[in-house]
Amino acid sequence: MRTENRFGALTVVLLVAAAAALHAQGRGGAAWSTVGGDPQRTGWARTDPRISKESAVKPGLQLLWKRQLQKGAAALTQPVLLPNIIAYKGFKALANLGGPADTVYAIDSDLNRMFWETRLSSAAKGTMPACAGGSIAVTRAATLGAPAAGRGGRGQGGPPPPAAAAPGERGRGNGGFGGMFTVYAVSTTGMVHALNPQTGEDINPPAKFTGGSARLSGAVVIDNVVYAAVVEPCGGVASGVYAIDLTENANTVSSFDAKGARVAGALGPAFASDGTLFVATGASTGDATYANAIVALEARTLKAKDWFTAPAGFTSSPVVFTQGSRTLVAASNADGCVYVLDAATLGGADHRTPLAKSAQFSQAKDFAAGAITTWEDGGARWIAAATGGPLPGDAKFGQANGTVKSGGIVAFRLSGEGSSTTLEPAWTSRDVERPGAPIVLNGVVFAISAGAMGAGKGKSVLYAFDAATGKDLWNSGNAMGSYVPGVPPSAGDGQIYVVTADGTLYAFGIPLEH
Amino acid sequence: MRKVIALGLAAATLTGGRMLADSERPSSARRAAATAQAPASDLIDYWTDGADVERSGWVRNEKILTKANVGTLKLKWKLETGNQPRALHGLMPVLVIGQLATSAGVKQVGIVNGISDNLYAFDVETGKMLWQKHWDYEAPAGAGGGGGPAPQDPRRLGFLRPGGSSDTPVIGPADAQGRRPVYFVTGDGMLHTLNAADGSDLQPPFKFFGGKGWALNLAGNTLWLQTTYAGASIAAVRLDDPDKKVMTWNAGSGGAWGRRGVAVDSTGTAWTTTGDGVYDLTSDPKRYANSVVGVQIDNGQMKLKDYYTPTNWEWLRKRDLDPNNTPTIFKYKGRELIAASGKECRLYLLDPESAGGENHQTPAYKTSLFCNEEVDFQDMGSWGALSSWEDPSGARWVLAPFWGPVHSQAKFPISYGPVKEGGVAAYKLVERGGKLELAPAWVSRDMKRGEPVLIVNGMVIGYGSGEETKQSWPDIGLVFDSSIRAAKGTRATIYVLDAITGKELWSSGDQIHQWNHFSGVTAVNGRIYLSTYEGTLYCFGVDSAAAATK
Repeated sequence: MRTENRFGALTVVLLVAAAAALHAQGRGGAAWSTVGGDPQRTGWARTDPRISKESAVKPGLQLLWKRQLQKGAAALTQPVLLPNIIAYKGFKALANLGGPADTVYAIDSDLNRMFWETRLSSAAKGTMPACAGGSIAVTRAATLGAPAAGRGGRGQGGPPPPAAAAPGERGRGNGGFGGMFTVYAVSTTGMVHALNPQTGEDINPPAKFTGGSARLSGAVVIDNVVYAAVVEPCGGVASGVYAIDLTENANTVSSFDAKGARVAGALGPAFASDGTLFVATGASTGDATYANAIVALEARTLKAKDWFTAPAGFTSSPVVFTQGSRTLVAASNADGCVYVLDAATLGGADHRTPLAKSAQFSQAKDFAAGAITTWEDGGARWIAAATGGPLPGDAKFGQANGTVKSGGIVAFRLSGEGSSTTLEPAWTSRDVERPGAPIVLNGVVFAISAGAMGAGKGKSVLYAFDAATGKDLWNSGNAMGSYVPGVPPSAGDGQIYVVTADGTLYAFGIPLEH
Repeated sequence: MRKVIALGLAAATLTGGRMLADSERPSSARRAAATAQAPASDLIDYWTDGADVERSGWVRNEKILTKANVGTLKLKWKLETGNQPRALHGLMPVLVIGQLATSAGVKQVGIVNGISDNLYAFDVETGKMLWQKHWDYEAPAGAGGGGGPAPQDPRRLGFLRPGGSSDTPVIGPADAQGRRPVYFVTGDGMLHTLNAADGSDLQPPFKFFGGKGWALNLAGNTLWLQTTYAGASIAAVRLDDPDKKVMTWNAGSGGAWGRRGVAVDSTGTAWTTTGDGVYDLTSDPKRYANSVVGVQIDNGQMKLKDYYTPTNWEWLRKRDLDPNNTPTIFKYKGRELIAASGKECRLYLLDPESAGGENHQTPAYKTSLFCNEEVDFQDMGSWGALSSWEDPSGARWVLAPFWGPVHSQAKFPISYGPVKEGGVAAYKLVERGGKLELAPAWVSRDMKRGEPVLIVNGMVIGYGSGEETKQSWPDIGLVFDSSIRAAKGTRATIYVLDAITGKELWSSGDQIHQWNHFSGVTAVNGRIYLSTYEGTLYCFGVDSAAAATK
């Protein structure tokens, strides 16, 4: 039985913070710019001013605050972070996320104060089809390059800065409105809203995007184009990927029809630096052309450029990263393996030949964490994924941290080049019950128990592991009162954010003295 | 090429120095002008911003303005200087020489500078210009918002960097010929030493230091300039040094924003606060932003003597809540102490012998927050300078101006209704368990952006600037163009409060027709001065008859 994509049962809010990662000693840390952290969906926050594998142990991570945004069973989306906006009430660090009834929140993430809360004007007023699940998507503009030093500070003591503000200079002129800071939201009725990041008010009239009542994932804005995936056919909207070009209010929509194939994963399409999109799919209810595949799409037009077809459906959104001069794409599959593809030729001549394929690490056929994560450490490329049950008997990882019975995190180290590229099994974590998709923050892997798509029970626990060894560093114990409905955590500037099924947002981290 | 324009007494009615015709003045002002002057023996100097080198703001020897006659304060005159605003700046605080020999006889003379490299001297009694000078020089002077090209209209300059002469002058003691030197730094960094009587040069000008300078301080023979945007935080020169060697110290990060410049303690150490930036002792050079720093001159070099950095400096950095006030220095039972504050809106009490303890992060005492609950760097917090005085019982008070509402958790025993836009907070120094504390005493009535205060004969002279302080708006975001803020300003209002209780004794009401920015109130010899953005100087004075029966 296919696992229900619990994202689809949520109000999906995807927010993209400024692409620039702010200087560690500036205002705020790296920006978690969209679901998955960046358009490449790496789930990797490269630096952090306070969280490290050392500080996770001592002084230790802790629950900083929690806020129940909706009472009862209320799905929230992954918070995305804007660590520094110069707003009309001062410098703010905002976490944006969505909730039921097309509600978008902006919360001062240092102080746990609501900055604004708005209900989209195009919110559904009648009953939605069951397949829709009441999803919205929210995002801000992102860039495809590597995170750059941000405008973190003010630095008024020095000589006049160059015309382009240097790192450490206050980024005045772009602090409050428009450009990189506009919040884009897609309502349950498929309308795109451009929201004032300071107030949540519409900047322009909403524009028709997907229309209907599609269930969205992975919304992101790149070069003034909003992209999002429609997870499965619903309400007359085909599954696939959609784009709307908002340049000068053109509002032209293009789409890639997956021909009935379900879009896999929680994070939608992933982007290469040239703008190419990669979308993973699962089984199809109709035409199998794009089923169980990773498809490369042209930017803006969304024309299919290439594809790779696997024996089974994918269970995660793709991640995109570079290895030397090559761009690689990776995703987890229902066969319990991670596939690595060369973005230049996804599956070779037969569209079925991956660059590398990991050893099997999962046997849970109904398990889908929704995402994998990838990071670099000392020049080594790592990929971590979740398994929803015991490891296969023949799985051999370099380091184990206990017996994996009900699930855990596994990590691979990418080695070799070209056709000799391999995924070397590196470590397994302690036992974690059906964990959700992991993320990585400054050398620490975070994962949530009962956090996989469709896990849906009990009370989740947030775990921290050493990204190099998988060693236990910390866990949240009984701090959370509900489970996490398939939404990976997000992180930045010393805090990790988790949403639970009872409508509560939790912030864990290392306190910053106020 | 530098060009100096000097206008003598006769030029007072020319160009920018337009005087109001008598018929334009309120009738009360005409009456006041006709009254007799106060006895010469009562007249004192207000020779430096903040009243003394310690920047106490305490006008100790005032003999005319009292609680008994404060209610008779009336508008004496107003003088339109014609100073061209730059960014948000207009005129700086007025300085006063109680008795000065001029070509027209002995007069009480006021000195005020305008941001556009103007210096004005006026007859306190009549409000007429005695002389004025203007300096022209080749730019660079000022910048556009965010460091971009400067706009043609100086009113549209970025408010962080107005260019021009933002420093308040300082008046030195009489020389052998009885001449009073006025020290003033123009926007090109040149130090001018002028005869207060006629504006002539007493010394050839020389290059001192540029940037956005704040009030000059003259301690002994050392002239101090606190500045920002110029590659140094503090500059100093010994006036008796024939080489005029300029000594500087740079905090490495964070500008210096205390409006009264540095405060100098009994050892000659100059203290100030460093603004928004990074505190990092591992960098080379080290960086001391978000701190209270003390520098001293040692063998012709300016060196950091000591400093205090709050343990929460990263938070201050993150939200731009830096200490930005000129500290105030005072003695309590023979012990010298420093009080400092800033946009975060709490007071620090420091011992200048060990400002932050061994780790430089341990103050003698710090208060809880008394404003800025919103954590807003622009509309809230304490700005400008602290003040301090000792009441007749020997109790020591510290006074902090602030913007925005009082913090909901701040507990002042005496208050005067809701404070939404700003005001003055008064703390009393107390000893508990052998340790010093600053205990909340009173908070004033609401003022639109409370500004640094003076203390005169048991009264606090403060004002709300009426300035629009917001830098970012919901509709247009963050914009540096000063004209946007300028258009939203209201009016400045002077308040005289009882210094023990905070009770309002007098206010200027709606008599001042415009706001000001980063200026300052002056109160001396029975008169109170405040200026506006457009360069109009207002003088309020007590009724002469009341003054005579003080």
